[in-house]
Amino acid sequence: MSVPIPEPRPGILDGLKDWDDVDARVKDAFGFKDAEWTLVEDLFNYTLPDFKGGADSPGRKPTRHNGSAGDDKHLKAYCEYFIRVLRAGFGQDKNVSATIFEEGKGELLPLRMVAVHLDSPGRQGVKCERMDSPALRERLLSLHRKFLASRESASGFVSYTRVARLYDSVKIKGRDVPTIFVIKPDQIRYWTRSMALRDADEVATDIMMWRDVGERRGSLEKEGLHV
Amino acid sequence: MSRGQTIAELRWLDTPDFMAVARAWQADASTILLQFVWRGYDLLCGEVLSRIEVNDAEEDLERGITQLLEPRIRRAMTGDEPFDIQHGSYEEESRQPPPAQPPQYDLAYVWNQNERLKWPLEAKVLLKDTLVREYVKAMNERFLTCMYAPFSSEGAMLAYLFSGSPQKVFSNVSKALLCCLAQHPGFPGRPHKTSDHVRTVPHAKKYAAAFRCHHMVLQISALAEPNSQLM
Repeated sequence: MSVPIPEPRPGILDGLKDWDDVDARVKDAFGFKDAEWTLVEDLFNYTLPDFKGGADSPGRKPTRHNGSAGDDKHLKAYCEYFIRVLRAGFGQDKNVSATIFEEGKGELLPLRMVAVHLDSPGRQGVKCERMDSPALRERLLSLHRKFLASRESASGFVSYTRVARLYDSVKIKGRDVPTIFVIKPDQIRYWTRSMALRDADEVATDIMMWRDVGERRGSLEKEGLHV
Repeated sequence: MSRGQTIAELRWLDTPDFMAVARAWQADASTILLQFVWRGYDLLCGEVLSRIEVNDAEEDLERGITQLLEPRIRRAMTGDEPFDIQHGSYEEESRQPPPAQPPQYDLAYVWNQNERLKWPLEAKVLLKDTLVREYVKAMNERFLTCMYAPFSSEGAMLAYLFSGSPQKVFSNVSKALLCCLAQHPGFPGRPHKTSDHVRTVPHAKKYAAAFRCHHMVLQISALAEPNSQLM
């Protein structure tokens, strides 16, 4: 049977000191690219422990250490990987940036929101921004209560959680910048690098399928998708 | 009577800023896709074609070369891309009723999160630069009828050239297709031209009629040396 297992190589186990060395050797032997290795790491760090563990498994923990604002390594990594996919698909010269929204005063919200800006003038990378508006806070809480919170199925065995992706424009330096808002529960498993790869893949597909309104309307009406 | 909004209209805004980005980025995406083809071809030259007497090969040339090219195109990719390359992928959208097989692409980029969205590449062996009949036939019967690339407004023809000059291939293809071929500005040192067409869209389908075809001549013998001047 032909399976994609690397051929044995002399000396492949030489010089191993710890498990990190073993991982590095495996990554090299299989020729995994960084995105593929990310999937492997997330599988072992979050997916499997979440499957076997309970409510306090690693992926179900809040994204911020000790539940306090100001420590956003998970969301920063999420945004960086999201941006990497869009640049890989559409060009490294693309001005894609991201904003992580943090609560100002008051309790932390049960959800997190990031914005990914397409073609934002003079902006690169990931930055954090405080959302002090009580109205925005209330809208997000309402969104969470109505749409995002986990619901159990009739059988009680399966629960599902919705996530939201919204397309809108925001003003940056006086220009309307196409922006994608991603809103999901405040749990690490929704904000892993693997999730960023998948979410960005979906956005990339959306961009490729964007057509002018007349073309889209005809096509979808034909398929009975008129709403 | 006013019309309601479709799902697509609700999901994808068509404000000028969104449309401008989508149009520009779609065009840039095709350059990235084809950059990987050229890099894969360079690897193929260095690892395979330069080490054998290619003209001794007689059987299954088209499939054989394409099979060798596909993994090298994938190796040229970073792994972050929102698409993958596939050899022998089927186009379900334009399939005929059973028992007919759906059209099958020599190569196609397939988007990870919507596998119906494909960007096809059709390969043809040209033993001489004058023998372009099959190449032109594939263009006319597959791409320009929307049998290929129904959801994409671009696609590519790969000419595996065994003997002769790329410029003569372009000239012969241009004459046979009755259209002009322009050098792709993103690949100035490569035999890579484009032509623009209006496709025949099947009744009741709303595919994009405007279609751009990329013509890429991959020299298989004699001049099969890696072209390192680009990218």
